[in-house]
Amino acid sequence: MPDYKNNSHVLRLNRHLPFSSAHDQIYEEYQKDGDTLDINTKALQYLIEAVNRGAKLIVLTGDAGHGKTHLCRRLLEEYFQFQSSEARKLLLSSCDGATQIQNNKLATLKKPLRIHKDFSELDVGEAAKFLESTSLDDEYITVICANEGRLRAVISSIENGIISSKISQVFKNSFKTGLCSSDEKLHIINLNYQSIAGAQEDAPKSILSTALKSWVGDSTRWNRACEDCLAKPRCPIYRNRFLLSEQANDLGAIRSSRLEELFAIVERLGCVITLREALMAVAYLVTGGLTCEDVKNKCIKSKNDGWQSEYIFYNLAFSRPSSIPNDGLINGIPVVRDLMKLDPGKRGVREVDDRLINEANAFEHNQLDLQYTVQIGSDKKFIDGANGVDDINSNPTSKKERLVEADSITRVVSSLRRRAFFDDKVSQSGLLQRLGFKYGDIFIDILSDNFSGKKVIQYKGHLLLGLHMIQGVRLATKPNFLYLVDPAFGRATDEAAIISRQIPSDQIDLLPMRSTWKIDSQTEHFSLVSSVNWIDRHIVVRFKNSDDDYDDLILDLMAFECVLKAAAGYISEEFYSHDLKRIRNFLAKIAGKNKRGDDQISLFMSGTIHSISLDENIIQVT
Amino acid sequence: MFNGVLQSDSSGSYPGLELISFLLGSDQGMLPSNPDVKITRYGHDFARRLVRDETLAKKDIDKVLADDFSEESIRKLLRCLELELENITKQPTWSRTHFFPYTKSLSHWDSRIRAGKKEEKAMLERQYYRGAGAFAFNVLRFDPNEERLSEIKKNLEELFYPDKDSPLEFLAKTLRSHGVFDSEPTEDDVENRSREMLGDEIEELYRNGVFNILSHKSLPSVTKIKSLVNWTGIWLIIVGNLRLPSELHTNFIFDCGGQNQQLRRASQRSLKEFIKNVTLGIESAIGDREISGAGIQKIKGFFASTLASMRLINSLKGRRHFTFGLSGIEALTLAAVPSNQEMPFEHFLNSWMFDKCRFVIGRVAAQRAGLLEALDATIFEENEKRLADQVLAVGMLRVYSDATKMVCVGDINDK
Repeated sequence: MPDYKNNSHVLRLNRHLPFSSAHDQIYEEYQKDGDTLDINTKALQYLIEAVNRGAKLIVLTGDAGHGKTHLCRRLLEEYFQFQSSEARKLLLSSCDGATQIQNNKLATLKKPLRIHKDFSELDVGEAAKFLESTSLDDEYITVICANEGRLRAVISSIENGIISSKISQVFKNSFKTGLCSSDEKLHIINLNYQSIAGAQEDAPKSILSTALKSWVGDSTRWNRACEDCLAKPRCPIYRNRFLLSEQANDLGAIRSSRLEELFAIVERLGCVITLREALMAVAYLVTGGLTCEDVKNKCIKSKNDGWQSEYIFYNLAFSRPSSIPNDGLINGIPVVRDLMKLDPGKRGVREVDDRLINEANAFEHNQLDLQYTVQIGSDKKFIDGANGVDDINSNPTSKKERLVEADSITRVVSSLRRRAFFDDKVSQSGLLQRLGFKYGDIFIDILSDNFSGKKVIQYKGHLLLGLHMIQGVRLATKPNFLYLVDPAFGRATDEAAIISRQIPSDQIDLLPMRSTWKIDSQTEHFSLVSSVNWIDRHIVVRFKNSDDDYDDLILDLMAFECVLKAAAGYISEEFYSHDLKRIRNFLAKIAGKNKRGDDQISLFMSGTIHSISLDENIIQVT
Repeated sequence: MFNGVLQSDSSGSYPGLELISFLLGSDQGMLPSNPDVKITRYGHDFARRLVRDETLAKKDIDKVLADDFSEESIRKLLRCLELELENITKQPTWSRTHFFPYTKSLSHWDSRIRAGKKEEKAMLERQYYRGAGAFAFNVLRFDPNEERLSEIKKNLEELFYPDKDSPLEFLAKTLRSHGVFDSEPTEDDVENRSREMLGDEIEELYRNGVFNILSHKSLPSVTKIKSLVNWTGIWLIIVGNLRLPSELHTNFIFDCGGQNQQLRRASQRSLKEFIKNVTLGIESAIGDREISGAGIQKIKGFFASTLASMRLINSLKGRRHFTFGLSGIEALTLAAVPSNQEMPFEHFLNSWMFDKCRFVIGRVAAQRAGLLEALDATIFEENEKRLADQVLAVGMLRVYSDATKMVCVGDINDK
């Protein structure tokens, strides 16, 4: 006879959650072999390749959670062919920088490794001493893990140190040249550039998608316990697994890729998501923080369905379930806060809403995730969201009841829109529009490889219009120049402004993030782009002053949207105040680099450019 | 008590504007050490009247502007250069209209025409410049640290006298020449009353702030001039707080997130307390002198109005509390961090914002201010994060890792 079961895989996912009492799995040092998810990231490939190519010192830097310690353990396994358990032991016992690690069986083939797995464990002075004790001529290879802030503090605490000045030089240059190394002896792998949602030709699966596939796609793990579980038809965890699994569901692959795109958008809004956070987010989206025991209790307590909807992955991504405190969720998995800001449930698109609510034929009936319980006064209803919201309507007799009814409708409509966001067959631009990014498709186009020809002219035209509008310049004709108003008029003015500088459109380039670095085939293998799973997080607008002198304006998705919205004629000053301030400051800075003669003053007024002459102390505008 | 004249008429940006008039008008160059200084004052009355005075005679306009189109164009242009005025419902008179000194020839003194004497020439007379700017001017020029003083002088010269004047400067210079100005430098009888320096940390705070603002070579001059004006206003508020007797000092509690009601109420209370303490301070400092109730109101008004202008409170009227506007954050950040240097965010909050300015934002500051007995520490932690988000969004915070947030201006690698 079927009974309630505990799935060890669900418990394992729960151990990745920061608000779970058994959250040890999120730290490499405490992981168990059976629970480990080993992802072959590009950083790991780069690390192994650098070691094999004769590197002497490798610095792994990045925020806590990017996987520095994990990379050390994987390096021990891959380089010395240690078993996982052995590598773990070494990680705890010998990765303090004092010990040279060697596999005696391979002593003639492999150079020893000296690993310091956490520079934060040392005070700055000790860390500096350690750094200077290394040499690029040592017989062993040194690997150091340090978060970026600690690394900078250590480097700047040493004066005239050979190694520290070399690290400092490579580190600073890496932002300008896009290279992790200058001589292939010293490498700095900056994991802050690592993307969890980015996919490339040589790494077609993103970190997020690998984790998702591994955790929801493994049928053995799910079937073993869940098949005979009494809660299976009513279990939101199993439902999430079903909805996201390629094997179990036709739409599983689409939904997984939508999740990936969603996280990519978050990264393109300037948020750095660590690998640990990505795993926590996936665990949260699959389980909703519930264990098998919780599901059992809920099933026993409530004979009817409806409670599950808040634990379905598409609702979890954008709203908090009642069983997890807000602080716990937001502080534990900060990316959820960023996801919540993108909620497609809050944006109405007429044709989508018509289909979901009026026609009510978008989804099959009686699906667990679309069941809701609505109680208005004493009237308790069980609603199938696939039928739309008409069944919720009742006759509220008080303000309280009206509010409950309104809240219930909002809840159901939001859920339907979220589900449609994951299920609908729409293009990427359509998806971005559902999240509120009207010009997101242009942003993606610029980042793509086929950005050339007419598109360049067209998008540059939009951008110039936007930059003009941000300065308060509304031109009557489409300009071929970027007019920069005198910074004194930097705030949008509808009246008039003096033009301080004009830049021809052909001196302005729109570049994806990676194209700002001149990387050739010789250096490509130790470039930042090759060192980690990469995503272009922003575009760069390059204003060329001469062949080798230029100014770069960085625009992430939000700032780009701000400029293009301005191009359409109106911009919300309050909402975009920070972006506008930054862009205006930048334009003011480059406006000062005026090369024009003094004999002419250009005035912008009522959509056209006039000239001011000062003759005999009399002012004439023509 | 404050060592300078603070009065509601001269609140907001006026002290900064007055300061720049002194800097640019001094007959002995920038920030002279010689106490007796004379200044050349410009009224800019022609341009100001062109914008705001319909009674300006056509014949006077025709002497300067070639035709009607030129007149209309220049009027529109000048309107964009006016100092933003808070809290006015009517169109300002021309004597109330000041240009923001984006370039040296836009700087000018107060001027007006006597009531009922419209045919008379405008005269130069203090109206909104009441001496707070002169006080700031003296604090800067009587700097005992000669190295800092000479660096400030050098940077001010670079700021206001660039190698090549901008088109706006040419235009402003022409317009200014058609207004009233001193044919000979004149002595100012208000400036000489604030020459006595106390040599305390508060004066050092101002000088260091100005030094830092001017040191940022990569920033556009407009940003630096705005920040100089804003920092002068903010510093005068700090003077108003910390030059009261020590028992009347107030910790300004800032609500950066706007989500916590307890914090909002505490912030409102601290603002009220500050204004009340100013009144108590004035009453205790009056001694035998006679100051009318309206006089005290005007001094109190200076602080409330300046706080609103500097975007340190949410509004000039209604239920007010301390919060940061972008211009306030920008001025404070530029004043705190020297060029090409980074300051840990915690240090910025605790050592700069709290120790120097008495602004409570984060947990440590709240603890030092003894606020954690009444309010939960997590409220201030959240408050701290919200401010970090705002500083990050204006590009003045670099987040290196979970534990390291550095406040910096521009690219620190740009030398």
